[in-house]
Amino acid sequence: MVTMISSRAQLHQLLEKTINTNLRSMEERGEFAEYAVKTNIIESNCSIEDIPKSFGDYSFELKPTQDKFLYVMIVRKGTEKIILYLDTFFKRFWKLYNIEESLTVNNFISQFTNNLLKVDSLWMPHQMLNILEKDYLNIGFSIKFKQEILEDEELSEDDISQLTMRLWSKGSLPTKNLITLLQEHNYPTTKTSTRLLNKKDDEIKFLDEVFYDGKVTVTKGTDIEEHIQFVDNIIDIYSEKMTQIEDNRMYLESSLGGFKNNGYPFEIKFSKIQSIERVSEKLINSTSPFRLWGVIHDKYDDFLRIAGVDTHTGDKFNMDLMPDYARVYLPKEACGNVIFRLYTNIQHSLDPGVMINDEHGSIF
Amino acid sequence: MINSVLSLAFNLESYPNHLYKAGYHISRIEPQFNVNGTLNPDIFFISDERGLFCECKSGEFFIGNNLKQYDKITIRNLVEKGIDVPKESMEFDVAIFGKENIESLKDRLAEKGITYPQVVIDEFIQKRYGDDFKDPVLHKLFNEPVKINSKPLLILKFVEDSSFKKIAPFIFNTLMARSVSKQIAFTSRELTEESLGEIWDNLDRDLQKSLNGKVKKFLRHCRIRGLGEYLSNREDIWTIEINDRWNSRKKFSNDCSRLIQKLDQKELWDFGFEEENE
Repeated sequence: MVTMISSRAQLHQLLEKTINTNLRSMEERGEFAEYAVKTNIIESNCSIEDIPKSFGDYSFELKPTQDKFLYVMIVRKGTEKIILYLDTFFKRFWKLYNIEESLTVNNFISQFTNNLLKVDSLWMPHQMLNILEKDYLNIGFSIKFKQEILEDEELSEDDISQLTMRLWSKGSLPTKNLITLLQEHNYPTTKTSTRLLNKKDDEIKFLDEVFYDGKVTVTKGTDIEEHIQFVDNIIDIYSEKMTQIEDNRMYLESSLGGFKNNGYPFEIKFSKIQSIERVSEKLINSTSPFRLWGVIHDKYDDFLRIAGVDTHTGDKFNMDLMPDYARVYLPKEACGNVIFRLYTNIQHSLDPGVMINDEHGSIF
Repeated sequence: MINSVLSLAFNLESYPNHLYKAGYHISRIEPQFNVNGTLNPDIFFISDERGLFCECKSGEFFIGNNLKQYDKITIRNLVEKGIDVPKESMEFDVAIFGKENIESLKDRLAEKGITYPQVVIDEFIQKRYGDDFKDPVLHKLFNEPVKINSKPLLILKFVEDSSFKKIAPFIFNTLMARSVSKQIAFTSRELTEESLGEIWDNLDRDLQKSLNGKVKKFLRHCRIRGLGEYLSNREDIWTIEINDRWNSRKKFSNDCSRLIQKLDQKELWDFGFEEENE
């Protein structure tokens, strides 16, 4: 669907009309009339003017609206054209609304967040998705764990190499019960999405599915403002953690009487002993999803140090790797999203039981 | 050794946290106090009630002048250095930290009448010789040996006389950071400053100049010995070009690692020698 808008009010009308049409269509015909309304939250460390207007297979143009922060983003790939609505009200976290085909948008977002420096998706660990569930009825989830660092022959009989699961339920009880069952048997509960129902006075305000990468899909809804407020709440929660993480950036400061130390390292605690060689090989080979580069130095049998670079931002970092712990040092000015990216991807692809601490204990 | 002691003030699971538990935080690293002469401890830690001066010793014989001057220090000296003083009267402890060298050093200290607590940080951490800590919490914590299972934090990345093997990884990650950020042209001075980070401003100008000279020679060494496909220069304007593809970056990492390995035992004048024979 290609729809131009020129104000925020028009955007809200367009999105609300779409969710209402889809709700009616679902009730009458059991299928959507339009593509679902989706919002992608983007972590940005630059201004909109800094972004190149063509990258990878894509080019785009931005058309301003009456709203200072809102743009119509016309994206082209060959003859294909899609329209997204870019809201830059939150300087650090942009919102990209759309009512386009999911796969087409996913492909674009993937290149937008992978190819551009200082633009990233969110990386919500499963604990953060759990926090979002508190105020709503949790009626489903996805779990995805795939061991991508260790080879099959390195796994023990009890280890899981892959678990993919998707549950949709009418109420929240099956969801709770299944998670409890998985926890009791020590299976991964690394949620990659959660389905949340917001009901007020028996009326469904929205049924949204939130994905770990900051995508929020309106599966059902009557009130677009409720969805937008919900997305803003996700940004608030993520932003608060980001501040906590960036407050721990570690650096020495020259002062009158010698150096002062600021900040704190992040201590990652693995739930089982790891091979530091294998882990470092995967972490710092510059590939997705970690996207870290590094040189190993100070190497011992059970310890190595990495002088690294986040290839997503060009920020430097240092890391110590041990069989049971890792420490990450984020320097002054470095983007804190690297901690979210590192931790969430260790959960998804190495150790679902991993924890991360700062001075005051667990961060997530 | 300085990093080993500094790390005790962090609440880590992977390293002992004696000083954190006792309520101390790092106040100053390598401060200089004027006490009718210069007192230059390695670290000064402070808690809500007390101060702790630390001397980190790696040798077996050298004692230095500091240890004879600690009884001269007063709160006034802290105030003069802009250190926030938590209360009107404070008690200070002085501790000497070392590894196996403490076994020899203890006799030298005894000969000079220096009896401050002497702590070994090696496989275990424990106060082994000298007086007890005045702070009862420190006394209790350092009394029993505690096993150290890993390496300390990397807080002070370099000191003035660090070898190039120590500095090289941070030069390489600065090169990669520049490549990723598309700031590919630089002078050797810019690279030195960025690689050394926060300590750069605290080095005196002669030392900055000397380090810059060493980095310039090191860059030439890198260009000749393995990084020539990425590094080029015209006079002192250098350019780093690493393709954005992951496999090119990985190759650069492997080439850097090989170069670091070859730096074993290599002395700085070797770089100078190569330059002269280019």
